[in-house]
Amino acid sequence: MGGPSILEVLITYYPLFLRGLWSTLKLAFISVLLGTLLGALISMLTLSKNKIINAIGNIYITIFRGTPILVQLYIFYYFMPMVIPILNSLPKVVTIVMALVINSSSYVSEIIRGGILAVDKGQTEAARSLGMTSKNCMMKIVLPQAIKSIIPSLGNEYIMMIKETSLASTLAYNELMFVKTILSNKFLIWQPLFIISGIYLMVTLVLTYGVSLLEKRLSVSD
Amino acid sequence: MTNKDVLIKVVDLHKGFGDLKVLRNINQEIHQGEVVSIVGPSGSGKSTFLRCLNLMEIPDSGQVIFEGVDITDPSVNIDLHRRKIGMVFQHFNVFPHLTVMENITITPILELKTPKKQAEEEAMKLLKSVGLEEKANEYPRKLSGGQKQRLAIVRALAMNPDVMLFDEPTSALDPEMVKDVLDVIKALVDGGMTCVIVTHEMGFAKQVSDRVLFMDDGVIAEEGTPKQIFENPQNPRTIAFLSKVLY
Repeated sequence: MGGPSILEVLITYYPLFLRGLWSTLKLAFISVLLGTLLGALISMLTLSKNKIINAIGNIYITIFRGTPILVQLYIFYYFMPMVIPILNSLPKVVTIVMALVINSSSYVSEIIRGGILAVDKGQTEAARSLGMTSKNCMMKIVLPQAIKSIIPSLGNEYIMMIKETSLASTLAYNELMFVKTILSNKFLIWQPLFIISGIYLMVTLVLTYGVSLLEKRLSVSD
Repeated sequence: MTNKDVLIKVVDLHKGFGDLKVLRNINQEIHQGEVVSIVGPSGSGKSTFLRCLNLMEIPDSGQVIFEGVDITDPSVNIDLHRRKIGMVFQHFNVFPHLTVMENITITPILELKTPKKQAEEEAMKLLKSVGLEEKANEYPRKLSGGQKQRLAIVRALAMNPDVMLFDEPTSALDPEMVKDVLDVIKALVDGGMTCVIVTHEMGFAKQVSDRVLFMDDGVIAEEGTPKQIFENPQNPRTIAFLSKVLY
């Protein structure tokens, strides 16, 4: 463990780490945001009473939750541009985001489905017995109650995603973990790893605290 | 029995859950202004029967004809008819994320396109009628069980239903809350509302009903006036049941 100390490396290269962190936060945020929209759609499939639609949703979730995210990243990065040629003319990050969004959506759809199913069935019955349409019942009665359990879980999904974006460094995407690769060219091997770990830890601790505050806020109105 | 128009006609109704036959060949007519109580042991199919009347449960076969329309026909827009059939549940099912006022006004505003101001005025009248006007801007978590059930009743009334279905409306209440809720139902009955009431409150059923149905094992085993059913039951199953519940 020779060479400069962790502190020295941090002081010299902090702009690199900050830029990497910013990249990571953005990548995770966009992935979870788009993953949530797609996930909401998928959850509608898995909540459907139509067996075929239901099966499509379940197969989607099974595939993308049942295979490693690293494999998904590689497939989207190397294979998708061959199938969809337009991806070649777009920045490479697009395929990375696609993989992360699809992966995230499979988890988010289960979060949303769980949140919706956790709302007491009596709520739906009461609304429908009044003559409320199924759409209004979902939008005005069920979802507003489900959201309380959904939002904190989405926060946790964001925290997970922040860690998982580190895998994009293997595809030379310039996020926080990739700083290690950059600095290894300068023969700095171990210091960046500890600095990066520290940064991830700080970010996840802060966000975890944020989610727990949010959870408390949301449970107040119960 | 009041001899007015038939409001709900049930024809050859069957309903099962898996292998369990819950309702077998039910035929009934509920008349305009009539108050019908349904009594019987747990699991006899009373609630399922009630829930078939507004298609909360979809019958396996048979028809439910409400105001001349067969609402079991899949091409019927059931939402339109449910607006004319109020339902009150054992567990109140008030909307916890809405204020007492919003609980009442949300469906008229959304589905009947009632102007908000008008819906709120009508809701306020209803709340006054059940002594909850001071709770209008509270959330249901601040209400007692009895208050929640009174809210649930006026929430249904806000849709101006032609009939009210009560599914064991007092079974989940603390004993001291029961009277408040029964008083509200009594007032409705006195106002001429058609009511179908599944209940374990035999005294209440006896007092308010025009007709009592005794259900057992998925069939209507006996029916008649409260006097006939409670004082001179004929069916051995009715006799056995009443001997257990009447103290």
